[in-house]
Amino acid sequence: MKTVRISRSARTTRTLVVLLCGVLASPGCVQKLTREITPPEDVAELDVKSSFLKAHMADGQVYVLSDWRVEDDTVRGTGDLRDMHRRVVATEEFAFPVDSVALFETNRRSVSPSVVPLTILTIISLGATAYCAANPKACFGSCPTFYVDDGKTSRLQAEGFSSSVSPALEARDIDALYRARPSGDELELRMTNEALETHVVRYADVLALPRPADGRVFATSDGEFREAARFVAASRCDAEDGDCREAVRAFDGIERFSLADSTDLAAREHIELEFTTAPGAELGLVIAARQTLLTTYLFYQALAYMGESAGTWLAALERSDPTALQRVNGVGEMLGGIEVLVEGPQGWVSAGEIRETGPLATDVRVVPTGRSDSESVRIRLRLTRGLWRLDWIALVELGERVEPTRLQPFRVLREGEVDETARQALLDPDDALTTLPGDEYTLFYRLPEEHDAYELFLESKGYYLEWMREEWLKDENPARAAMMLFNPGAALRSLAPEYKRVEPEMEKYFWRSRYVRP
Amino acid sequence: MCAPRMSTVVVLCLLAATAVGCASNTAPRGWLPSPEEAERESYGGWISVRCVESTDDCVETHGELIAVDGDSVFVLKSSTLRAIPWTSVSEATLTGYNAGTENLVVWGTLGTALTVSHGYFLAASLPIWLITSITSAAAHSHHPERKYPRDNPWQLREFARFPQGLPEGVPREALRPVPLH
Repeated sequence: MKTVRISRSARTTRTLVVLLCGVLASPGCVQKLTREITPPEDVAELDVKSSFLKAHMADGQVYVLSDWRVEDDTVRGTGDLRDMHRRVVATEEFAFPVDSVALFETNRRSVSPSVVPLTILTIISLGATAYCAANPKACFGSCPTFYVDDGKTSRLQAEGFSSSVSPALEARDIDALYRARPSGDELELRMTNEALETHVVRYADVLALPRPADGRVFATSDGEFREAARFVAASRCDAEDGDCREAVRAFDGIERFSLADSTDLAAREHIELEFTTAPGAELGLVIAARQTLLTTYLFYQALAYMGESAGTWLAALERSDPTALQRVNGVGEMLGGIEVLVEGPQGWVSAGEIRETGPLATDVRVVPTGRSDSESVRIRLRLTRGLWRLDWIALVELGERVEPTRLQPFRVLREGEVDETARQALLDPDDALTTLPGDEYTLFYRLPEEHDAYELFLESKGYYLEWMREEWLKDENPARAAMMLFNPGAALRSLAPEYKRVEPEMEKYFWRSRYVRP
Repeated sequence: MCAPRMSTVVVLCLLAATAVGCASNTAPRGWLPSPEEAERESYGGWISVRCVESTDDCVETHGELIAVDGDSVFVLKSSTLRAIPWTSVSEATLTGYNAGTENLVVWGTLGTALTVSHGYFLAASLPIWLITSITSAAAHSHHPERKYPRDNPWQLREFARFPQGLPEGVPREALRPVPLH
């Protein structure tokens, strides 16, 4: 674990906040002046709120009066009489007739209207800064992100190996590029590092599978690829919070999600589904989903509890045996995935589970549910409350298992320049491409002929290292870090109230501020 | 934020800055009064006059606006009062006081710098801060500005030393200029 303390950045932020508060407290330093010239015959229209009255005389002299008034056609006030060179001739209380004046001049100072948008922006901005300082776990973080053209725009379609947070947890990850629409026989995939993380990418290959004429191809949790056709939307989708049919009817970004339990972050909920289909076919449940920020929060909270010793903790992890590694993922195991249960003669039977870590990209997978002798299929989803965002659920008839063709990048660009070293690092099994915050690579793949007839997936392998933030160090608590490792159930109950306090704001701020779309 | 998007934002902001543009003037540093000083003092604003063509009647002149009338604009430059016929003037820019635009620039710079603390917000808050502070500063900088021929000569007189017109008997070679603030 790279433990980079960004204390200088934090100090700079504090300084900026203080200075900006100072500016905000003194908007009067940005003023405008409104000047009015009034002939003596319109003396009644003089701006009486003007602090000073200037009376310009025909000979070029001028009275500059404070505490002034006009009474009975006479101007009275205290101030200076200045000659045409503007030298002070006299300073006293003056009184002179209105009709001896050539022109009156009044001035009014006021806060410039240009200050208004900046004042509003400053208040919002200080609020955002305060929020991010108080809840840094809500404002930072991503995994290796992959963008592919969907025919309209470059869309975030995959996040790689999101649960591989250390070298010991390096893993392979398959993500469906379900909405990829390559315009020619080359696929362009943009790989970015958009967080304070070090990404170590072993490889990023595209898997191409022939798509059936009337269907699609989906990955299962076992790493198989199945043809699928005859999509059926749920005729019933009941959750504790009501009917969810509309939210899950299409892969359209409209998601069904719930809030976490206030006493136990591992508490489960059920969603009851019902489909009407032709009996006899082998069926599968397609689910397009991504996680909420709960796992992000828990991961960052664990790092915060480790604090200054995070490097030591993770170094120990690297040296430990597989049992210890399983323990590290204890929180993840407690949270679980989306479990799919099918109602049969013996009651509810588990058909499989979907586990895809990460809150950014929505992944699409299928869980085979077996054959049904009935026209009505009842399915239950069991999932942790507040952990999943479900975009699309459909029942499909499964077809053949299909084998992918593996495509490796034939060209890699970095900042528009060919980077053969990076490409070789992605091709060499003993090497890896290391990226830092802000890095961006564009990977090109040559697609098979009739590229429109292929389903595309991304298979990536690697791990990433989260950078420590100074704001997290104040949460250092070895006892609670140990509890997350050795007693994850208790940790999830203990953290529930704190998470519930930040949950609504966390979601709102994170997703309002996102510049990626699921 | 990825580099191409960032560069797009910067280019857009530079274009916005170019398109909107802050007012500028040729007054010596410290010459223009603040709004508070302009309330009490009674000198003219700073005017820059450009000519249709350079002649004996009109040469490009920068100085204190002394007076305007229907025929001429009177500008004090280095203790010499020049009368320039409006018919020879192609453009004149008057700045009545120092708007203090630098305060807004400092404000905008601080706010823009603070967006580094916004995490993902940065993608939205940085361009918003840049665009808002540039347009606000530009708008504010134009408050004290009057331009001929956009504004008629009478609108320029409110920031003349003698808004009533040039008094008779003013010694054209002996008027005292504004002491530097």
